[in-house]
Amino acid sequence: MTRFSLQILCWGLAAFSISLSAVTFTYTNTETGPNNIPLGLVVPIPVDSLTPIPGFRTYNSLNLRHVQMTDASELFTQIQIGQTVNGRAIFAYSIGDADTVTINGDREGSALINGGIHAREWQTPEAVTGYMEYLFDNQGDQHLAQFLLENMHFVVIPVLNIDGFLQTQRFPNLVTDTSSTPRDGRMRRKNMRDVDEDIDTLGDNLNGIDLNRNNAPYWATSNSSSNDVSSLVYHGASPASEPETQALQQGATVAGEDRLRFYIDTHSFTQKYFASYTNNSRRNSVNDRIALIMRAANNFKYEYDPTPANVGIGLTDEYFANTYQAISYTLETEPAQSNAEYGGTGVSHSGFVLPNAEVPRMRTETTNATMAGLYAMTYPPSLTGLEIVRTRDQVSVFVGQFVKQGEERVLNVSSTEPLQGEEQYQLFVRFNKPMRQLENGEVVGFSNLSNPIGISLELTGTIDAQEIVYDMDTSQGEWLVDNEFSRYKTDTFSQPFSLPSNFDWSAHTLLSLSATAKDFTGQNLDADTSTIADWQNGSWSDYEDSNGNSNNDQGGTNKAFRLIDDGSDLFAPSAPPPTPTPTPAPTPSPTPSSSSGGGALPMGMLMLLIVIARRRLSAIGHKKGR
Amino acid sequence: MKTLIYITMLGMYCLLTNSALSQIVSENQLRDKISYWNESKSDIVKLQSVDQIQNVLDKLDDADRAVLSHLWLTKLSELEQVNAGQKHWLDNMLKSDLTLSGYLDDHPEKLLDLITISRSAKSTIRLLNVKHLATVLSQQWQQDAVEWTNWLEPQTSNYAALIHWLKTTSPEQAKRISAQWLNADLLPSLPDNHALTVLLTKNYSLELVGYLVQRRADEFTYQYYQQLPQTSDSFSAIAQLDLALGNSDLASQAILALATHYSHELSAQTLIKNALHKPSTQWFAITALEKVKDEEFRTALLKRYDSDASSLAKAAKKQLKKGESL
Repeated sequence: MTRFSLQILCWGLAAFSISLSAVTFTYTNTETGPNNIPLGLVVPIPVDSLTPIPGFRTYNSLNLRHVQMTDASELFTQIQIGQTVNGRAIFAYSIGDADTVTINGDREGSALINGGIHAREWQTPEAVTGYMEYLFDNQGDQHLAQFLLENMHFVVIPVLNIDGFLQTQRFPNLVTDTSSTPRDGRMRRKNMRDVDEDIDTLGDNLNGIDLNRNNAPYWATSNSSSNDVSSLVYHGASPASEPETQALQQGATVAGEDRLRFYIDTHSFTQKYFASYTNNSRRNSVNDRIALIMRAANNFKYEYDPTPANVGIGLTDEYFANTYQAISYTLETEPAQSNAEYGGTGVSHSGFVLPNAEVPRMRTETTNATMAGLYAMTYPPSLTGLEIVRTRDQVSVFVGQFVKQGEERVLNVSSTEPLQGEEQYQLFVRFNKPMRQLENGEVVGFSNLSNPIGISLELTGTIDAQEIVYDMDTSQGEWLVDNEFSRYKTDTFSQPFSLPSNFDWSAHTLLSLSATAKDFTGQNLDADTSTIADWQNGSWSDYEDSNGNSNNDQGGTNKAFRLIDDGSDLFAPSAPPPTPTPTPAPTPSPTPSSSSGGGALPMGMLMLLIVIARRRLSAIGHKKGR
Repeated sequence: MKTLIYITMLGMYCLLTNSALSQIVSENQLRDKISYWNESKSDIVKLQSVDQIQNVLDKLDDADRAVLSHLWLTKLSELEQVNAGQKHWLDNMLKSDLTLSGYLDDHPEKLLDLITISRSAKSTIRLLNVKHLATVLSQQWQQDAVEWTNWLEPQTSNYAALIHWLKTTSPEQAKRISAQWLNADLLPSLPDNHALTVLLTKNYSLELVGYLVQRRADEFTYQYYQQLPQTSDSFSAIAQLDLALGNSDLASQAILALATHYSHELSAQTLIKNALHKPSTQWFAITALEKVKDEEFRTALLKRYDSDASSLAKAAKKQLKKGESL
């Protein structure tokens, strides 16, 4: 056979294979037949609606919804980050206030959120758009959404694989290939490289690149990706060979590469958080903790499955974990196995077709989880202010606030009067973030990570070199939600207290507030307010525990507010404990009984403190109630 | 002690039994097995007799037994009714613990149940039951003996059968059924909008649409309106979208449909202009302006917003100009 005739034969075969029509199957509810695949549930078709619906929206209307949010809020900005294989613009949405600092003037972190990388996973653009809609609808809520918008910078890519997504939406109930391993039409996964938009042509419906196998550093290093163009997991010609992958990486640039601390790529299904460990054990521990928080948001119905360091299959979460040491996940939304979990037939791949009626709940659950994770990664909880008000005349007898000066925070005390025994006071402890979840305006717990109160407070003093504790019954206190909170609902805890009749202010050489609390996701307080916690190279810097250690991302008890300051180191060993004595609540009693010895020195120090504090205050201004 | 030994033996038995009945295959292996039975051995899959099929199944390993059982269950589900032997076999399959598990290529770290024979049997029985009940309903209806409330219990085979049957009715039959439901004041008893929207697809009635939009919008309402351009002429579609504008949940969908499909119609233009004025819908309407294809209408709107410096007007102009380039 000559070379020419061989060529003719090849062309002939190619033409023949292209001219053949692919076998198509139709997803149905209950209708059976040789080429039907009954799902046992209504087959969703995408709907043109800007508002969320019980079901899936078209790409066209999702895109318009994103534009509408951008037009209607200054906190949303549309940025083109690239183009698809077929030349469609890929948009990211930069969400948050215009500055790059938190409300406390600290460096603001950023988060990159990706959706729609796999075309058939319709849950994901809905979930990610749900995140945007939550932030848009609640932007002035004085609680979680406002906190996130003011203290974190989000870059959200609702649909990365637009070409593929549109292909699935063109054929909402049709698939090609076999009924057990469907590929094109509604079940397309990959991008549209070398694929036409006609479902019937045979030669191309297996083509395309799996964008979630197209990433460094573990590109083409495992059997879970393939160099076969027709494979469902074809990894492409090289890492980031695809314009969609490049656009995602551009998203990190928009987010600010030095500030990127959180990445999540939303997929379906199997109901799991995947993650990739790196060689940074502290990053891995925080990654585990944030996964726990996100799982807790939905009562642990999602599993967590981290992969060991130094191995991978080319996923985007591997890229962001290893390149930026960011907390990084692949979220596989529900169901865990198939649509049988909703009463469907459970046919193969039915997990990709979430029933319409389940979509609103899925949106809410994924939003709650992701927002909780982001909340935890914004910054650790810390005390920012303390105020003691004498109840009978509403006079503030102590007002202290930590204020940023350079690279640290210093305590400004604007008024101090000695506390008296048997006087009724109201304590206001202020935090740098909303500390509790709200449900219909009521303070609630968050799974098993926090309860509605979850704070212990005591005044710790030193008299004659002996430690003395004035306990408080925090069940009598409350997180403020209606008024008198600082900036966000539940960022202030209000606590009534009184001191015993034998309390002697002048006898103390040290008197400080000891606060032990967790934010609603269970993160401990930063024990040292004066140093500013930040996310650096995959762990928290200056996030101290009760002993002043900042190398374990644990936090601890905060004793930074000193009403009487002896100038000792914040983490100096405690004074020896007193003889064990009860500390009844709510009216605490001191032990041992006060003595007059040493009273002159602390009083002198106190006066000096007040003078210094007032000078600072006049220069900086009082920040109460921002 | 004896009890402990028994419990241990029982545990080991369960472990061994489960491992024998739960097979793990790759996606490709599953595909190959299905192709083998569907193509090379299609004569076996087409067997009608339970004895014949069981004879083949008994000689297979668990993986092939699972695949062939599943294919035969699928085939049975396509029948209108099954005979006594088939029914008995189906009932037996409900108790089967034969499972084929595997890792899909795209989910390499999650073991999924690819085929669970008891679940496949349950689905087959359900699908057969729906078809049977639909036949019963059809006969009752022809005899004018339907007690409709028996068919309206949500999430039951009866309700699924009602929907299944309604989809097979002719427009004339659908018209008669609509009239019966209206006369019997049945519409408030409907568990959702599924049956109503199937009827409407078969036989358009503005009166029924009026009922539909007064009810809480559910997935079926949205899907019905989404298909309006394919199922209704312009005149009736615009009339139905006008009604939908009165339901706040449907407003954005209605405006988008008016702008996308009917902006050349004066009546649609009036509705869009009204939506642009109404505070609750103006942002949806402005965003939808991108879809307006009618040149004259777009020009008129651009002119209207020309001297307006508000953020709404700015957004409207931006969307109208985007539409020009589409």
